[in-house]
Amino acid sequence: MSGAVPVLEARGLVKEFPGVRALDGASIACGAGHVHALVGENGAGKSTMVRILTGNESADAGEVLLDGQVVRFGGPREALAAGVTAVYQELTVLPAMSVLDNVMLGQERTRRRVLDNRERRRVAREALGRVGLGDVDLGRRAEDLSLASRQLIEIARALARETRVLILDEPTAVLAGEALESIHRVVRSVAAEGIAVIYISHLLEEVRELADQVTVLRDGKDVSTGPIAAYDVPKMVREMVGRDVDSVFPDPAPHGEEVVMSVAGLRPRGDDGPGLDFELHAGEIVGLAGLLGSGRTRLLRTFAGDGGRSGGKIAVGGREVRAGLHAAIDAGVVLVPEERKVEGLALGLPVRANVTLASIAGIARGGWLDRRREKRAYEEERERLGIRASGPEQLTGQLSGGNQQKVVLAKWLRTRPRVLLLDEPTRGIDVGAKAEIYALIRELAAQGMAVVFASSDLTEVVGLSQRVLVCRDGQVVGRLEREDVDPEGIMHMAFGTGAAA
Amino acid sequence: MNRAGALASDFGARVAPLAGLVIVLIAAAITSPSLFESSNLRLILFQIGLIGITALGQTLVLLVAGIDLSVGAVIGLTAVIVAAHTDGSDGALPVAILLAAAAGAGVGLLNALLVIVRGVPPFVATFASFVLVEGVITAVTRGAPSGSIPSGLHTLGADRVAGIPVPLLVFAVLALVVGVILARTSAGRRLYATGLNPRAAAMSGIRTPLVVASAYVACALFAVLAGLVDAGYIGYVDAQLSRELNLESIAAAVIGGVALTGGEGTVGQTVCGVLLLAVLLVWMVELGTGVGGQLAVEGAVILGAVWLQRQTLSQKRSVKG
Amino acid sequence: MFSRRVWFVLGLGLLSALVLAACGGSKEGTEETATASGGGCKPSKSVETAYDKAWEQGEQALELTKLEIPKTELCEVDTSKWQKEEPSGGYKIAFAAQGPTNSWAAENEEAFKTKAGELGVEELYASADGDATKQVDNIQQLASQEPDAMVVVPMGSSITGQVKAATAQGIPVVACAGTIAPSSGVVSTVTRSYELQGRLWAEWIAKQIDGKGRIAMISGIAGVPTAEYPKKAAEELFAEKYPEIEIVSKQYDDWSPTKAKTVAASLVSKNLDAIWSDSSFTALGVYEAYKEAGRPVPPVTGDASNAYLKAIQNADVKFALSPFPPEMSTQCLETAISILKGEPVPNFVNVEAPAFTDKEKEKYLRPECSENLWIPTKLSDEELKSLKLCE
Repeated sequence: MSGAVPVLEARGLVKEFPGVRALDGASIACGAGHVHALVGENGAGKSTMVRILTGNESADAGEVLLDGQVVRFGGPREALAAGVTAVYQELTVLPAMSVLDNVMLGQERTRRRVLDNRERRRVAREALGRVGLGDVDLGRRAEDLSLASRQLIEIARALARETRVLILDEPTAVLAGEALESIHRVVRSVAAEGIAVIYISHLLEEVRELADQVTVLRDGKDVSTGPIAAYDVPKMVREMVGRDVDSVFPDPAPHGEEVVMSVAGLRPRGDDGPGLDFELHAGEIVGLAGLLGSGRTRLLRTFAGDGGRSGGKIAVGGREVRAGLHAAIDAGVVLVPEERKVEGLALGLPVRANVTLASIAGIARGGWLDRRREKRAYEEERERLGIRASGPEQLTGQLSGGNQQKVVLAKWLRTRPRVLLLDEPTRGIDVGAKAEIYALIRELAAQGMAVVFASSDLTEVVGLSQRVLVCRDGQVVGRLEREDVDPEGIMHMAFGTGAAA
Repeated sequence: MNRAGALASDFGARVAPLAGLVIVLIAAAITSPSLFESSNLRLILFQIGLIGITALGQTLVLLVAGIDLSVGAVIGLTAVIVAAHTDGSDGALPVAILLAAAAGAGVGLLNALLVIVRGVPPFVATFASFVLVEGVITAVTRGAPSGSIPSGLHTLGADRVAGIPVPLLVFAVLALVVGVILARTSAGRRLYATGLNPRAAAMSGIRTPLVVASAYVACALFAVLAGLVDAGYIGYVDAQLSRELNLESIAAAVIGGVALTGGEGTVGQTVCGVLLLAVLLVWMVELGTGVGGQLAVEGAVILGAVWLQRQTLSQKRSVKG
Repeated sequence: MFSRRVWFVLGLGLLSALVLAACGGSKEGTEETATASGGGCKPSKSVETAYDKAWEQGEQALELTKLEIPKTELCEVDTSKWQKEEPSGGYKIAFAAQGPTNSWAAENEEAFKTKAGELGVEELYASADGDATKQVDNIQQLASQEPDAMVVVPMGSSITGQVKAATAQGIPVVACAGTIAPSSGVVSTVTRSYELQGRLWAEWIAKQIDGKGRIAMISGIAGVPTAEYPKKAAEELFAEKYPEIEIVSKQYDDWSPTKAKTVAASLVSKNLDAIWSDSSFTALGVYEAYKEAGRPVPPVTGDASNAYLKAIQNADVKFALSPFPPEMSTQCLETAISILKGEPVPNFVNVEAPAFTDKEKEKYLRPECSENLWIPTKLSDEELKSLKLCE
């Protein structure tokens, strides 16, 4: 940027949500014609920053500058009018509408209040040309296009608005191979036109290839920023995590020999593949990796008895377990779901009641609740898991994400499970609590519990697992032992691009 | 809104009905002192008993995020069954009560079935039951229910023990029982968990369909009891009864602070709401506002209560973040 | 902040309560005298005599000395323009009924049906389930089946337009057990006069308390003609003739036995000398409430049901009942046939029914019959049995 005034700059942004300080003095400066990568762990504050830059949220403190002038966006429309546009991972392309309508969505060109069709087509055609879709039929319905093309239409929509700052939030998270390349090409050419691009991605290799500058967010602060040349992947990870990965994930203790759960020919409902054979040992931690929609969650849920089977058998401790939630729970197979607020907790109940939610029969004597016993259960779990609550009576909804997750864990630990299943165990949890959850999982495994978890956080998968199963298109396509696990290999398997499979 | 503020407003929602009761009592004492003469007082106490019994059942259903609009129909059905089966004979009363209870449980099960298995919104399902039962009553009796109410029921509906109407005593005992079940048993805990978050409750191994069905059946059985009380009170078959008791049972619970969204509310709150509503209703009669007036005031108070609740709820949400 | 909200809610409730208290008493229906339009209507002595007969019976039975008959336009309708040859299969007459929502309506409809069978009339029946809105559709539907005439038990004033459409279509309409606005073109109205009911009860009350004292008025459903017109007639009479009678409270009880008792119970403490009411449901509620409170039952009025007579048969209660007989539907049917035959009919038929007091209670009580029976009944024993009203 060398001296030139950045197009978009944020200084000292602070944003506090109840219980969480999402941004804590974060800054970023992005120059015209540059691709500026924004990286950080989940919960580091990236999305909050994007929401502030695009006027969807207002900062508690700090300022946003456009061309060196302080601006205050009253809402997303004002940001759009100023030329700041964001494209999100979750597509906002309307499948039933035409390409033309999708590109021109929200910016209708009119002449005397009537849609000016010729003008619309011209603008759309030009924008599409800039993203390499110059020859697509404008009347085609968006749902007939590939995922990558739809992503490009989103970008074209931004370009049609005369955008000056383009924010791309994980545009490639669900793409692979050639599709990935096409997005990269467009990003480069858009930057070459003089547009400032802020690029958010978890794929650090991609970032290194594409970006000119990088800013690393951690705990709501910009802990490090500079030209990309100065950052190799390990350095970025170190900055993101704030310590060496090894310190977060010490080598696990070897697991036992006893097979706790054995799965034979298992096909989740709707799966017509060959079926999964799989053995889980006492004290073992198995990670399920794969892209969104690759079938990780479905597999976990089938283990947990939620959602039926098309075939196959599951046995726990040598005894067969029927399909069904109650059978699984009775056999000691329990699931900590990804959506803990939706599926894990009754937020309106006090913490003690959620801790005993799955073991209420054990707290009650002939149907009568024993208050003292319940309180004791709460105290035990609070101590074991380090739950930070004002007391047993605090409403669970008032706890932070990490503590809520611990309550879900506590709920299941009260039932003395043999197999603990976790789906995205640290999503939406801040870094400190994450480390605690990891340590906890390790400890439970060390005590002999078998653990299977699914995660899209590769660092987590690599660091925590003794064994990794990689899912793609609903099937387990790869199995890696700890010594063979590396992020790149997993990604290749997940995308189906690599040699290994 | 900080946490302390939210707690204060929560406190407000809980105390509001009590404060409301006190204010209504004072206002009533000023505008119509005769409200507190013994005959009016007895009427208020009876109303508390009758509305209260239905409101207890309604509370259970509200706690599992449902609503029961078939209460009034079950009350009418009970009167018709008792009259038809006993034709005034006390000896036949026990069997008649069993029949009425079975019919009531049937309506409750139908409600539960529609809500749980077919996923019909409770409002629609129970209103359909209401219309169905009313239709069956009208079709079978052609508007002229046969038989008469045995005098044995008079004890339940119109007698007094130590000056206190029996319905009130029945309500008091039931309120205590339901209150203890909700607060002190695992069944109560399952009910709250199911109402607050049915998905999480089910995922935690609670058989939520069973819980929801129990609530609807219990509510219908309470309505049967209310039907017996009412039949005993008037000593006459009133088959057409009471869309009003539908409304009043819900109103009492909601005014007391039981949330329409499920999982929030206690029997104590319902009792408070019942007291407030009963005083209000008799006071309205005393003021001579007529039917329209009563409904309008009731509506205004419910609106106020729900408005208070939403306020509290949204504050709680913002704390959750 | 908390207290502000509480005040808001209660203020809201209080405000509405007071506003309604202020307005509640002034609810009034607009009285419309039923006069025939279309075709000539000439004054007739015989029609006036017939009208007065019902009044005279009431005056005698209730031992009143000075029942004034209010001025009403009475005449004889020339029906030649409606005249129609009787088809071989008999006349086709539509009956827009209330629907069997209570025993009064059930008897009303049974009587009509039986009479139609006797007269060889084909009945087209439609039930309104007590709902005026539904009756609007019913009348339209019945008219589209081209009946020779139509009898309507009016559920409310909102049917006026549809009745007008039917008469314009050439179907003579008879209002039965209620009134329809004259602008509808209704040919004849057959009902017991609301004014008669209201005044009869009021005069009897006045006599019981020697023209002074505290009374309450309890009516059925607010806004429904059958409740509002008698009430208004009684109020006017009290205001004109008996300034020393204080109406302490005016209530509605929806003709529901439950509400009647509740409302009556709230009046016990008011030291009333008498209670004017328009139904025996109310009279029954008054009796039950006072009995339970251990107070003497004040003189009370109402229409005549077996339920009430059964309840008080062994009690010492003063009452005056004036029936609103359900089987007046037969007279409605006969009037409709007269119209079709081109015979002159009265524009208003004041249905006769014996009013009576507690002195004659043994005469009218039917111990072998159900509480649902309206008395005195003209239905035959077989009909009563088939309706499960009597043994």
